[in-house]
Amino acid sequence: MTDVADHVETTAKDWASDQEVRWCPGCGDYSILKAVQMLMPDLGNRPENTVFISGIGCAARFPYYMNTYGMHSIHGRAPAIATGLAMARDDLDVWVVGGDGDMLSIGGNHLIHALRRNVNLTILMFNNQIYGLTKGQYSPTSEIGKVTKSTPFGSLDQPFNPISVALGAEASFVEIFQNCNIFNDGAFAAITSRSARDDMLIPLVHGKPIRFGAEQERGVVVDGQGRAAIAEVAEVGEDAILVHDEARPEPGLAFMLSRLSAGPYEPTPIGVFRAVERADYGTETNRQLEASRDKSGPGDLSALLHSRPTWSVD
Amino acid sequence: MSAFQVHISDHTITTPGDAPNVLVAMNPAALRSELHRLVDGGTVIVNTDSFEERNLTKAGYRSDPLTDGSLDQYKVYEVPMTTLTKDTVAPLGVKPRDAERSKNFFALGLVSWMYTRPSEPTMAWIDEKFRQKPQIAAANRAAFGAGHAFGETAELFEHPYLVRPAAHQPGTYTNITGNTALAWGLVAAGQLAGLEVFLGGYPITPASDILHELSRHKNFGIRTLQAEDEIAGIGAALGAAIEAARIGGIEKADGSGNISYDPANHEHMVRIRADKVAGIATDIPPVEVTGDVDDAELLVVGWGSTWGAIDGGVNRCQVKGHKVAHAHLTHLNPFPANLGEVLARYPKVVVPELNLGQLSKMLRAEFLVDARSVNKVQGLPFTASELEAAFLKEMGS
Repeated sequence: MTDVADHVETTAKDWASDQEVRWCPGCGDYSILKAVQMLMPDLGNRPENTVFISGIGCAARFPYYMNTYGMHSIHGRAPAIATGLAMARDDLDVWVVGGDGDMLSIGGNHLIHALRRNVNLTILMFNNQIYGLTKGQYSPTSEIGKVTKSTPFGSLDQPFNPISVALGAEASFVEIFQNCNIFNDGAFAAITSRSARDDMLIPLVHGKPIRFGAEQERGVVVDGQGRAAIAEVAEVGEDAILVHDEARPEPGLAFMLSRLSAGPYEPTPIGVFRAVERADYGTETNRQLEASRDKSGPGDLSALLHSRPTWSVD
Repeated sequence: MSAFQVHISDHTITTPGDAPNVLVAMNPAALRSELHRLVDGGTVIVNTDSFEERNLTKAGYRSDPLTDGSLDQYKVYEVPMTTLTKDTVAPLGVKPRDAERSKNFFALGLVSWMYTRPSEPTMAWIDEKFRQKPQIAAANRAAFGAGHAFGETAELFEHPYLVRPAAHQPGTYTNITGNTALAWGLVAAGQLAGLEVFLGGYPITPASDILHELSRHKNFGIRTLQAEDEIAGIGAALGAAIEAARIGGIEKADGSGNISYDPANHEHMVRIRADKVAGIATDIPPVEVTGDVDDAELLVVGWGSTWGAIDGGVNRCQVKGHKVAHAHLTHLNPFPANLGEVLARYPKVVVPELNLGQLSKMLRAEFLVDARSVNKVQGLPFTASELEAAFLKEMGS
C-alpha cells in the first residue's frame, strides 16, 4: 500500500468511469459505489495503480464503474485471481468486490483461503442476503425459513455469519449492509432506518467501552456463559461494560461480538472487529525470493541445466 | 502393489516397450497381476521367500503356480531374494525393515547382470539418492552387488544378454523426467523473455513434480502458489498476468471498449474474437510430416503423448515395406495453417487417440476428411505393436 509520503491528491470524480451505471433503480449498490469513489481520495492512491476484481453477480459490475484497472472475472473466483495479481505486483492496490452468493457460495473456498493467507487485498462483500441477478433465490446468508422462488416452503439452510466466517478464516473483514430493494427490500431496515439506528447499531471503537443507544444507556457485557450480551448500563454499572480491543492476538473477543446478534432484527455491532498485524502473503513470497538469491546468487540457467549428472556423446 | 517397466535397446526407442521379456515378481500378487503382459516364453524371476501359503491365498491363487505347472510356458527362476538380501546386509547393522527393502536392489543387480549393464551409474545414483542416509546407501550397494554376483555365480541363468550403446546425436546429456524438463523449460522461458514466472497449481499425481521443481528455484524469481483448487491455480496465474485494461464478460463496443447492449455489436464482437483466435494460425509453425512424406499410402495424425507409440508403429510398417507418414499436432485451436492441405495429400488418414475420437471428430468437421479413429481408453498407453496392427489393417494388409 502507498505510504503517507506518496499521498496523491485526487477527487471522487477521478475515480468514476464514464460508463453508464446500471443497477435496479434504488439499489443499495449505488450508495456503495458512491461511497467507495469518495473514499479513494482519502487513501491517496493513484487510479492507475488500483485494480478492482469482481466475480459474477449484481455487485460484480463494480469494476466497469471505477476509473481504474479492473477485471469482471468468473463466478466466485475473484479472490483467487486477485491473489495472483497481489503476489506478482506489490505496487498495486488490489480490491475484490462481490456479493454474498459470489463470495460465500460458489466462491466460499477461495474467500477463506485468500483470508487465511492474508493476501494484500481489500475485499468488499455486498451482503443483501438474496440472489438478485438471478431474480430472487435465497443466499448463503439468508435467514432460515426464507421464502423465495426456489424455497416456496421456506429455506432450511443455516446461514453463514460472514464476520464469524472471516474471523474463523483468520482475517479482518469488511461487511457492507446493502439493501436489494427489488428482491429483499427492507432486509436491514430494522437496524438501519433513521428511527432505529441509535438503538440497533453498536459502534465498535478500539479501546472504548462498547455502548450504544441515544443516551449511550446500553452496553455489551460478557454473561455468565461467556457470551456477549446486551445490558442496561444503569443496572450492571459502567465497569462491567466490555472494552473493545481490536488488536487482541486471539480472535475470541471479535468472534464473540460477531455472534451478538442472531439476525437482522437485533442490535448489531458495526466497525472494526479485529485488526492485528500479520505479514502479508506477497511480501513473504518476495522475502523468500530475496533470501534464495542471497544464499544461492541469481539464477544461472547453464548451471541449472548441468545440475544433475551429465555425460557426453562425441 | 506397484509395477515399473524398463525398456532398453541398441537403437532409438520411443515407448516404454510393448510386452516385457523379463518379469521380476517380488510376490504372488505381482505375478498374478502382471504375468499376462509377458511375451510367450518370457523369463519370470520370482522372490520365493514371499510365495507362502498366506500370500498365495491373498493373491487369489488356489495352488502354488511355482509347482502346479501353470508357468510351464515360461523360463522361471526361483530366487530367495529376501533371505539373500538380509544375509548380505546384516553385517551392516541396518534395521530389519530397511534390510528387507534393499531386496529391490538385489533384483536390480541380478537383472543388471543378465543384461550386462554397467554397475557404476547405479552405484553413483544410490550414493546421491541416499546421501543423507549412508547406512541405507551401504545396504543398497551391498544388495545390488549381491544380486549381480548371484547372477554370475549361481549358474541358474543360461546366458547374459549384451545391449550395445545406441547411436545418439553428439552433445551433453542428462537424465530427467518430462516434469523436470517442463519446469526447466519454464525457467528458461522466463529468463530468455526477461519475465518473472508465476505458477499457480494444485497437487495431482503425476504433475505435482512441476510445482515441486519450480518451487525450488526462487533465486530465478519464480513465484509458486499451491492454490486451494485447480481453478484457483489457473485464476491466480491469470491474475498474475494482468497487464492492463478493464476486461470482463459484459460485451464491449468495437473500438471504444464501452459497455454495449447492441445485439448486432455482440455478434460482430463474437466474430472478431473468433477471427483473432483463427489468426494465431499464422504465428504457429506449420505441421511437419515425417516418414514417407511424398508417397505414403497412409497418413497417421496424432497429438500429445501418443507420439512415441505412433512413431514405433509407423517404423514397423515401413520395415514391412509400407509407405506411411506421420503428422503430430501441438496446436489444436487453431490448427496449423497447412493442416488441411496435408490431410488432402494422402489417400488414407488414421487418428490414434486415447479417447473415443476427440481429434478425429474435429478433423472430420473442419476439413471434411475421412479421418479414421483408432481408440483405446484403458488408462494405458498405446503399444507400438497395437498401432502397427491398426495401421496395417487400414492399409488392407
